[in-house]
Amino acid sequence: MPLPERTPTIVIKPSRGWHLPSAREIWQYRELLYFLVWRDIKVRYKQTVLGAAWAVLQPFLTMVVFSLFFGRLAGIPSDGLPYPVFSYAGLLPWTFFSQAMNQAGNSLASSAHLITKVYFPRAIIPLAAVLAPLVDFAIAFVVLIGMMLYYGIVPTVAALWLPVFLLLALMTSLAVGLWLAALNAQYRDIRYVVPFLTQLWMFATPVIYPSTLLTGVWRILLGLNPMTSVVEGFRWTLLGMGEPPGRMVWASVGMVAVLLITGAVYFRRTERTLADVV
Amino acid sequence: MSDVAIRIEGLGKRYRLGERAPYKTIRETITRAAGAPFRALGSQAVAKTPQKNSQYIWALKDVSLEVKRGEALGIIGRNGSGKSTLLKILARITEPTTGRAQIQGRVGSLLEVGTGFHPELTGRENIYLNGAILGMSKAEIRRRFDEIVAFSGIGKFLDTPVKHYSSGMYVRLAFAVAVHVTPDILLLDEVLAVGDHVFREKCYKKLHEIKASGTTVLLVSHDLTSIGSLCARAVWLEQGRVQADGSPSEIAKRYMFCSC
Repeated sequence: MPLPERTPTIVIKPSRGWHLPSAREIWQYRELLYFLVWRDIKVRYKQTVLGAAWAVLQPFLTMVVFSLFFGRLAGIPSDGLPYPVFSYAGLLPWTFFSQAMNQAGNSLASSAHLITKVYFPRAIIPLAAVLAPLVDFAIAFVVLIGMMLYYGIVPTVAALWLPVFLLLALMTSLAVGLWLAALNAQYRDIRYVVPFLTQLWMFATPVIYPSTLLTGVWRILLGLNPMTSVVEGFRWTLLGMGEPPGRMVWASVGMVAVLLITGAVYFRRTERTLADVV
Repeated sequence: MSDVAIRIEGLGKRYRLGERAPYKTIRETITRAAGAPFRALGSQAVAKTPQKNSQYIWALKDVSLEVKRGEALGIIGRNGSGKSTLLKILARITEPTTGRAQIQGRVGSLLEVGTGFHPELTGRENIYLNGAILGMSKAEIRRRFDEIVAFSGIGKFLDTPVKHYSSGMYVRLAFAVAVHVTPDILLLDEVLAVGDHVFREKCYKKLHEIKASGTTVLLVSHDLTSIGSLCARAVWLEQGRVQADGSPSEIAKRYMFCSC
């Protein structure tokens, strides 16, 4: 942190009410955020034989299994695309999201040794947890490009929208991660809820199946899940599948905004007694 | 600008007994919330039960202190006297229940040696990580890197994961990073009782240097001699309150007398 010209004055007193975490303070601690992300990336594949290949193997093997069982045996439609590339394009953002959400959810509890010893804005911890899996995402993305080449799929200009959908996935995982992290610090039940939640959430997201399979009310319900927009968005931008997403994306953005703001406020509220309960 | 580095006014911290031990479960919270309307409807005696169950303890009560810029203050007290709680509040790790404190300057807290060290990372990597956690900027760490390595004396093990270090090496490296953080105000919690006596001497020498450079130091310790050698003033905490405030030798005499 750069030394300010004048010595800062810190006032310590009991805090009241509901607030958002201070963005300015998080910005002041950006170097710590950088080092925590860097640590997570460095440590992730230490002492593994396959190393970063795991980032590819996880979504790739899942894709193979899905293609076999859902694509081949169950005959689930994939809107005219080869099922492997259809499911991999969905698994890619999904794997990122589930990793980010899981790690953010456990982040406070697993950083208890820091929280009880040093001060820094605690939001840095879940923030670092959702950023680190981006590296895995980038590695796994290369495989998708390979698959697209194999199947001769050429992306259109729509591919320029991809970062928007990735950002939406990031924000969704951060929003849910903030809620889970704050709850997990107090209630260790959350640790058992998260894997279950992840599993259910995947079935509520059109990863295995196309969203066109559902109609009417079901489709609207599906739209309330921000990950639907992300997965559909990935398929639209890269594989040219379906329509440019319209209203559904706005519903997702609204949903994420609500989750993110409430999550951040609840997180800030928990922060004050965090060192005493974690 | 005033020459007061830390001003503490009526600071208090209340804990619920057993708060730190078992985690709350969702079931507990839900049943309590669900039971609330029934308790309200019930008789007075029933309504009182939750209060009887939750007992509170004041770890710190009505503490007021002033520490001048550049002063070294020793805080002494028995286990559970509130000295660590005081330090944790000043370090902003936990919030006070009552009162306020005002601090002028950048605070560095050293409540433990090697906070955030990762066993899988090398010595070099941990210097950066630990330095950042303790509040140093990347540029600052880079600037003092050689100094830190020299101080730790780990030499050729710099690029070995710290999980392969001996406990002595580990502590030395952790300490080397810690003493090279240069805040305006340094909060120390009994961390000096580590390492062999040669290294301990080295640390004390470094602390004297830090103090001489104008850093305000707050040192919590059981060890009266370490307080006496570093601090010109000592505060004795007893059951969360200030029992005495004066020169270390005077406090030491009264404290020893009281303890036995």
